Amino acid sequence: MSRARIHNNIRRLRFNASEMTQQEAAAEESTMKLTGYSSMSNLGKRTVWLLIGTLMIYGTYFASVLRNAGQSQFAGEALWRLMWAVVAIIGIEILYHLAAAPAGVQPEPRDERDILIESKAYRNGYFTYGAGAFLVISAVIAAGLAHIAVTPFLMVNLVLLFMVLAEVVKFVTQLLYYSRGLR
Amino acid sequence: MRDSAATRIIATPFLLVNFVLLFMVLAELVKLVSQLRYYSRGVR
Repeated sequence: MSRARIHNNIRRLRFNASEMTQQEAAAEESTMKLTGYSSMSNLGKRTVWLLIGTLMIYGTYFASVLRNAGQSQFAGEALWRLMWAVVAIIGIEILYHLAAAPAGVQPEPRDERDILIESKAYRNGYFTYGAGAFLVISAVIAAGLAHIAVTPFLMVNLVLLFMVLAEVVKFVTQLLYYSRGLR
Repeated sequence: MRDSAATRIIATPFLLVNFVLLFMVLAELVKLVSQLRYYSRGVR
């Protein structure tokens, strides 16, 4: 039985025994969520901010670029958007490190658990990227057989999309393992 | 005129697909070599 399910069962029992009012239960639940972030290691916190940054920046990028998916080459505005997205991700990483020290987040060495979680996260990201690359290759071959033109612009953006998806899967896996533990 | 023709030849979907495939195979090779290395020298 999972830890969350055991916790829920205990809460239900306490609630049934009238030891805990509904307000207390709600307060405890919100505290649990807050302590979930605050009890994370620095690597976990870094993962949260990088995930938010990646989703915001590349979400905006793909929303704007895939609207003009018909263009054939990377040029002008599309190229600038791509460069801006890459620079912005690096900027977020730098900003996090600059803001971490004043906010009291001290750098701590990675332990074996962090390394194991990172390995598992990379594995899932690798599967995602492999599946995406396979999908892109299949789609291009199928489009070629059906005499549908596939522009290099669309192909490059599809490959990039799966790279970003792999990164998001990696971050989500890390957060999942940090929150529920290694099992 | 010659430049634009050359660009069209370089960025064909055929070439891009084969590049993606090449890097998939390279990634798999790196994975296998890493596994062999860690099995031989231990996890450190």
